[in-house]
Amino acid sequence: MPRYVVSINGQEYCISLDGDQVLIDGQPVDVELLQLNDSGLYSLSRDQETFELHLHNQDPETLEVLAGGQRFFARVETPQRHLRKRPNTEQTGLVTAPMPGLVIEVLAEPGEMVEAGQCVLVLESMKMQMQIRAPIAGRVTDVGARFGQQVDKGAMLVRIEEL
Amino acid sequence: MKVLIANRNEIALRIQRACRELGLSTVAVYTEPDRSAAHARLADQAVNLGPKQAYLDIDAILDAARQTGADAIHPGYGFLAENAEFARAVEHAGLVFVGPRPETIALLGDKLSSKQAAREAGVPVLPGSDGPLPLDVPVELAQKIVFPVLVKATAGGGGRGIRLATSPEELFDVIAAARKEAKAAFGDDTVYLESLVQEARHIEVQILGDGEGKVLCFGERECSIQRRRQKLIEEAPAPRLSRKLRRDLCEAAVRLGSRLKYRSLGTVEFLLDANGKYHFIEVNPRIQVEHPVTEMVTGVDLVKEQLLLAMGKPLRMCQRDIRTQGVAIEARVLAEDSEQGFLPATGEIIYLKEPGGPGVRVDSALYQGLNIGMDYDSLLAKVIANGKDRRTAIQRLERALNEFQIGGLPTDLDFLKQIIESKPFRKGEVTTTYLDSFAPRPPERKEDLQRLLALAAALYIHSQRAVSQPIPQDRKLATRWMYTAWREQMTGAW
Repeated sequence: MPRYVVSINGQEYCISLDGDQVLIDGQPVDVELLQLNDSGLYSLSRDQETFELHLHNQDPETLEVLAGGQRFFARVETPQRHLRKRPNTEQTGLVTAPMPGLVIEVLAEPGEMVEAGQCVLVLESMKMQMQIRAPIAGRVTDVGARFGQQVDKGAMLVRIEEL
Repeated sequence: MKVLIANRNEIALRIQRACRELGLSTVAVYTEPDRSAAHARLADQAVNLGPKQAYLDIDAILDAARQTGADAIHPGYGFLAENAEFARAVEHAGLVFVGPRPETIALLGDKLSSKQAAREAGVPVLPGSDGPLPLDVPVELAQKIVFPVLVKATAGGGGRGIRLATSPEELFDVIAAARKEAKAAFGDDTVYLESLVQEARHIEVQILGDGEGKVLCFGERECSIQRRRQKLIEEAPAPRLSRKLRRDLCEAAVRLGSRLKYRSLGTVEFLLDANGKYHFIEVNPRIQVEHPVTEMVTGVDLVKEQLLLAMGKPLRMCQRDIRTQGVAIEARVLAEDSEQGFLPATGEIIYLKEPGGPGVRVDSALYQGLNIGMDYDSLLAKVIANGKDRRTAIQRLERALNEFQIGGLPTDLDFLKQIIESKPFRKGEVTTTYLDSFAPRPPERKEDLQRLLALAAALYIHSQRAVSQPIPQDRKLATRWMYTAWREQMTGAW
């Protein structure tokens, strides 16, 4: 019997397809997914309720789902796979430039203590100013950008050492 | 007549549309990263300017005009729109610049001289240093002024090059930092002081001048919903203004416009303080991003009027003819991740469904398959909704934003909806700092919907796997077993 574990917004659902029957967390449900075209448009219905969905594979296991004016991500795995690999969510203290830009403010100095989420640097690209925040709390060990410097995407900006 | 549009994205399409309605041919210019941009293929002719910065390349644009035999150049907004040197070069080449005279652009580009012009026209300006700060700022200065105070770059504008000093102690450091920033951003480190208006609303007035002293006013817009001094939601008319204040603002803008013998479209920006007093900020000598709200309440196609004037036609209307009706609100849809500190986002537009229906206008240059890169700003589309009153306009905007489906990259759609749902916005009681304390809440957990989506996702993945094995399947149904389920339902055998 094919079974899948689907995670959306941190919530997990166990879905099994038993012949013609669909079970979610062990409960049978009566749903229909109708493919409308070849570019990902579907209609989903349960009883008289209907939804228009757009489904798109970001990678073999992750779907981008557009529904009801919102964007969701669904991770679909087999139970075996789901148990085997836990996502690696460990945050590092390396802060890199998320886009190319001009450094218009440097708010951290080596040796300084910063809180997680604290703004350490401000980048400007086109008319957008972006506050670059510390991913973790700790001590700043290295600042890789100067005021007025043009940095490339991925350039090292600040390194923070977790204490 | 042939018009070269020296811009990209939605505004390039917007101008093309006005040209088409007037029977003018259009020339688009594009850069390497914009090879597949919509504006480049929807114009009658298109010229490749070269690298990504080429929208700022005056010579390349004039060359393109020469090659295609264009008679006029429309600069749109941003890029070279407020560059006096460009306007001068266009006119020098014997072409029509669709915008103000070069001298006017130069005068208004210097924030101190534009303030002086406003003062001379009897338009209230904010107190401040009224001149550039000397390199050695006298220490007594800090005692004389009222804090908090803004340190502004004369070459700034549009919300850039502004810093805040909250106490005499930090004033000198802030001035030094502002100079450094201004030097880096504009190549000019001249700064001046201006008092800060707390709890201010941003109100701006749309004008159109014939260049000979006749200036029309198309009413005001409120643009107080801003993030990092960049506008996000704009509306016309501004809510909760007295008839007198509305008239005063219009008269002030027209007075300044007439004094400058203003030519073409322009926007006079004001701050409205908590006591209902208005203060001049700057003039934007070009078409604005938010011009559609004015078009929707006045029924006037501003770009068309601007082009007709540039073609040498007299103004087609007088002030009496300009009446506003109802309310229009615009929301800027941006490629950015509201949950990740509003970082600009990139990606391919995988799916696109733009809203429609009564009272909704969408200005965009999007198409499915378009790649949104990091080369230019993050504006994807403008959604404008109007209605007979503010309530209707808000309802329509909300409905339209819910209809807007963009797949492939994160957008601010959800954040925009949260703003227009908020009480202060609904009451029309917001100031320019409203968004500073407005934290986007995490996406609403719709437990029931999520369960359904989980089912859809599992069925979808399952059908993909089933397809890889040779199972005959009905094209319209996701899987064969689904088809069986459907049949059994139809026959009541479930």
